[in-house]
Amino acid sequence: MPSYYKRRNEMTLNSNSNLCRRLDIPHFQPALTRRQMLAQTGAGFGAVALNGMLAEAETLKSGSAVQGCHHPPTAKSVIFLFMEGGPSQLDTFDRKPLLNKLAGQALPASFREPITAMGEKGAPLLECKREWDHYGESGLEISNWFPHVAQHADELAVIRSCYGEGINHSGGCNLMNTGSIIAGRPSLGAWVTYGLGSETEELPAFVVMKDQKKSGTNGVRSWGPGFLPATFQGTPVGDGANDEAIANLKLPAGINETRQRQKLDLIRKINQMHAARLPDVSTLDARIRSYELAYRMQSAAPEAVDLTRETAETRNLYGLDEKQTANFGEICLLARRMVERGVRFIQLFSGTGSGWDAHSGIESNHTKYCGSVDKPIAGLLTDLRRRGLLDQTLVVWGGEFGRTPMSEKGTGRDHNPTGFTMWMAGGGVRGGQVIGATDELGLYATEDRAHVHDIHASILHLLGLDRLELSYNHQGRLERPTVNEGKMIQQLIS
Amino acid sequence: MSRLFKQSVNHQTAISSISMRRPSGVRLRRTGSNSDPCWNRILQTSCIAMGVAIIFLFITSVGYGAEDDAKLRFFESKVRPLLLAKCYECHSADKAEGGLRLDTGRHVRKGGDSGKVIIEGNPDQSLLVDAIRYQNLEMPPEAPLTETEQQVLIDWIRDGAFWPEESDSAHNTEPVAEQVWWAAQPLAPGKTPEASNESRSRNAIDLYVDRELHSAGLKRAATADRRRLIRRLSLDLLGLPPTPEQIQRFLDDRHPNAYGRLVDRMFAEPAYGERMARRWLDLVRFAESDGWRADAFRPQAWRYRQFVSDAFNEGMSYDQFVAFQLAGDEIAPGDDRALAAVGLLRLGIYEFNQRDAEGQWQNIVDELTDVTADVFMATGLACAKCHDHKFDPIPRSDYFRFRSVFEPILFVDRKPERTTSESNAQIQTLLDELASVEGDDLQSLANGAVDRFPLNVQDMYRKPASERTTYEHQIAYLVARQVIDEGLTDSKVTAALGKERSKRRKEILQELSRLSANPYEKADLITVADADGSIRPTRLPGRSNGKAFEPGAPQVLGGQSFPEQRDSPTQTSGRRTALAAWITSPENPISARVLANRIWQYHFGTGLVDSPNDFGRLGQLPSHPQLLDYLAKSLIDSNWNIQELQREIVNSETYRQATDHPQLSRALEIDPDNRLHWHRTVQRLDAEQYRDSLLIAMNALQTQYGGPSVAGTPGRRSIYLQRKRNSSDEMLNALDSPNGLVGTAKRDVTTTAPQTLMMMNSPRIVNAAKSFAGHVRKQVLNIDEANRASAFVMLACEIISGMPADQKTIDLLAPLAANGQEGEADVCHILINSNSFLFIE
Repeated sequence: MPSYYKRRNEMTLNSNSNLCRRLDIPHFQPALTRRQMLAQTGAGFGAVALNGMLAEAETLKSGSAVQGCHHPPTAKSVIFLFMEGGPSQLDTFDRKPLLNKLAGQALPASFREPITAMGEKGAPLLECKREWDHYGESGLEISNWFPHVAQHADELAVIRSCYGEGINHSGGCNLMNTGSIIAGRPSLGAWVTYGLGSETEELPAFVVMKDQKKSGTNGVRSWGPGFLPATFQGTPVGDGANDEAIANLKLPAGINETRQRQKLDLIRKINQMHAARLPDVSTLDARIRSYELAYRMQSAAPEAVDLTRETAETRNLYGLDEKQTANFGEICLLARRMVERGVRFIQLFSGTGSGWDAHSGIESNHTKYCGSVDKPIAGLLTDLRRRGLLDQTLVVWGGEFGRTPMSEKGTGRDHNPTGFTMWMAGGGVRGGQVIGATDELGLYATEDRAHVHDIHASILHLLGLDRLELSYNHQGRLERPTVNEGKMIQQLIS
Repeated sequence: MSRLFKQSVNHQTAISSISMRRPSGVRLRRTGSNSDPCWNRILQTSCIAMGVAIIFLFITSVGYGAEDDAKLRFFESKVRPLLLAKCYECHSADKAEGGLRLDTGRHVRKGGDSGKVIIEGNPDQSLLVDAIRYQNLEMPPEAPLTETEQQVLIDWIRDGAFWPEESDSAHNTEPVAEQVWWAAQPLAPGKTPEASNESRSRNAIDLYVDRELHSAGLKRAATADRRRLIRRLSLDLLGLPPTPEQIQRFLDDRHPNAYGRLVDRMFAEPAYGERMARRWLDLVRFAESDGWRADAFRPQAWRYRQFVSDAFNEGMSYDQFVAFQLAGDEIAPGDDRALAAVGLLRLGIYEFNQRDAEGQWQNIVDELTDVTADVFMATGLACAKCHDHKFDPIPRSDYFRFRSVFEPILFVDRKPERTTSESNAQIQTLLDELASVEGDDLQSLANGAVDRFPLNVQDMYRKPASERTTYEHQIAYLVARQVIDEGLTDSKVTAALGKERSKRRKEILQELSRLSANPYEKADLITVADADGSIRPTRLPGRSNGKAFEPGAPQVLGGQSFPEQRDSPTQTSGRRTALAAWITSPENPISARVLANRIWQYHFGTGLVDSPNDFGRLGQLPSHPQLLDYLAKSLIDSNWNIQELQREIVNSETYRQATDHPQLSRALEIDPDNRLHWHRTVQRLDAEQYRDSLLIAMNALQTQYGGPSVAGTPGRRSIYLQRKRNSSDEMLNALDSPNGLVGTAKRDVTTTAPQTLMMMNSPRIVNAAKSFAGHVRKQVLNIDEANRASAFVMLACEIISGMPADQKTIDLLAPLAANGQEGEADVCHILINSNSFLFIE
């Protein structure tokens, strides 16, 4: 072996770990698993990972069930219910009696004035018109905008002290989806898929579904792979043309099943002949297999999204029969079917395109949007519970931020990234509890503050992933899903 | 290159087109400069990152009690951030003033020249507390700590001055600094290796490569056949496959230097510049939209692409290429092309409605700093933004010295120049009427937009331009842009003026546009210039006084200061020109290595350093260090002639090798990754090669060179398709074309199910197959029916893969091709899905 080449290998293997030892910092993980090794060398990645499906599924099936995990997980899948536009915490899960007392007055001087998106200066505080009640054995306080979800109070861990830095939708959505207000990082679902792979060979590992056929804030970036290989990006379901479940799933017009199969056979034969000449190129094999996979997907995906097989009772449970709840109910029910089929990360969008963004007329806006998701979400929790899936499925609810106690345009509320509410249920989370608190007006998170990075770290933790160990070498920087910040919110499971 | 610092720059910006009056009766409060939440966040970030490291260490090595937990939290959330922000500038590894360092537990306990500074458990006896109370000493010297801050340190000392780490490493660069960083060493190509008897080549590249091969007991593969060579070379240099006619001409060329002549022809093609531009555009995160929520299209962005493509075609030297992109406005302020070139600094993302203008500007300049270091130096400066680089010898001060180069930079949106000769009087009349039609209504609309910003930002904006500092100009630009883009939208203007007046306004504006005098006209060129006014000193985040960083090179690369060329506040500073000159100066060994490596990667798929944007310690070491230095030195010696280096590479035997090797299994055992270049590594078509090849197969490629981007999916080369960051072209995206959010030095090559589904089922591909079939059909019409199907398969294969079909393929596909137009389309669809199309041998 030539000297330089040898030296290179030795240095590659040793220099980092020596350096780490000397610096005593966990900036580098020795390449232990095949996945890490591939990620670090960048070699032949495409050859072994097909949309997080093929190779990973094989790994998972052949070895221990949780090969990618850093510690034992309590959740296998995630359903992230994203209320796009920013739901008001003050009118749903975080009651502030003082707000109604001071309604109409300016924000007291003792509260630091935040930079708000719309910058309305000196706007009076807006009262909350909800009625509130205590629910379940835990007595969680929930407003009458979520009467159905309230029935699951004992399943919910309500985190009232969330905060982030994105004062606008774009930054907020980017932070909630990718861990940074600035574009370019991988989405959380992409990280999870990269870390854990998939348990299905026939469906994508990371699925995105929207309540309306339009583009949401930041477009495809919200489920993009960032600097991870495209293999790990989210796949929109139900968003394609021609009512396809997944883009290009349907056979091209005028081509029947037989003709398609014939073409696939010929492609395989020709590509096998080609690969025989180049036995060392593993990508060639991967491409050959990808056709089989795509073929299987063509039958599996339509089956997965076929709701006609669900009973009338189930359809009713999700509100499919009512106009107001049908859209979101449908994707909630699809989410359950995906979880059953081993899909790892499912993100549902309500109010696609900032629907929840109640700058004015919050009463009518939130009446509409809460009404459209309340029953479906409750139905989802009920259904997951009775099928024994809730214990292994983490359900997360929230938007990119909350809303201000100050009014905007008299009847609305502006964006509030400095204190808002999210909740989690299932997946090992202890329900019936409140974590953290905002100040007396719900403007700033004050107790046990939970940055979006903490939320992400917690989701990863519940899936068995450590936010620091999960890393990817991008341009010489070991990038991690929470930008090296955040920590597991221990109270979720204690 | 000449340095023309002395020319003043015309700051023609959107700002100047509307002047905002301060609303009467409103008193403006001035808030302190420490109120910027972004700074705070960054401070917090650095500390959290550091805290994370400490926590990890602590858990693994020491054990962990609940009490310690509380102390640790207090330390990491309160104490360390405070020390970092207020003390480390003078009392840390970089500069232990008074012999005191406060950045490690050991040093804190040890104290400084005056002895111990803390007595654990006894704040009143501690010198440190004396100092922060301004009793004997006065620390920090600029301003005392607030009472709350003082109390933090007092509480900390009272509780035992808990310090979590057990090693000295957290804020210590010594272990790194003492190591030698290969990329910063002078170029050392050594003596060109002697040609051995067996060697077929005198090309220096081959000699370097052969030496390593021989010592590994390997030999190069044979030269590839001409068909494969022309396809490889054509896709490499032009991004386009050769047509069957071009292949035939090359096969028929009996000249002894047929290959060399082919290379020459290709460098002369305009497509060469397009191909090279695409590679460069990846690197500099080129896209044509804002990349935040609105993702507005940037109709001017193509001018930058045009500069890049022209530069490659003209054979511009790399030092000029760098200078134009970093300082085109300084070196040639009157030249549109130079102004477009420096548009490199305008390619980043932009949020159209961000009220936190100061935080936004902070992010913008951070990004410019990072991108510049990545692109030209392959050095991850970003790590050093919040802390000294953990692996590379880059202290935080280097980051801020580098960043200060961009301190005075201002975005300039240039309006189209007046081209008509109409009298000024006519224009003035129209402008007067415009003012009367708009009245105060538009002014108050604009004022309302300004009022949404924090008060100190409003102040900066409302200041007379002549009194602004560079920083205030920068912030004012961001405000002004929002006033126009968001505050004065058509619907808002119509609502404010009413139907009649807004209709008249539109007419006036149209007329003014015709006269090239519309004050609201969209920019035709986006560029930068140094702002007027005094240049804000570059300081650590959150600091408004204390140490200021002067522009200069990183210490490990010489650390020289860049000369300041500003004699008056309206002159450009020359900082960026100085940076560009330093990047390509002979004393700087890293730039030539980085570029040589990129060019090597362009031709072999993998660089000699397989981490093209990281030449630091987390990156890879060069497989052939002397070869890399030889190439780098050749670049410098040729006055940075990129084409000359490419010629040397593509003319080498190393480049011309075949993919197969007589001793394949043995070679694979010794060097499975082919880092020694014992054969040619197969490469998949990239997204643009894929789409452009399809266009050629369809006979639908329009070869028009240059110009603005086109919407939709016409027959133009892929480089001319509009690139929007939030909505990428399905086909290009499926084949790993980057979205332009961050720079991409090496693309991923993924194989995914959505990609395969697209190739099988997308109507676009199916239609491509039909057109492809039609193109082939026309050429085999005159062949007799018995042989037509075979001929069809033969020709289709040659068009798509450069190789005529072999007998087995003909046997497989000819029956289908005999099956009418549908069958022919199926054959073409199959071939589009074949690996002999998708992979380049």
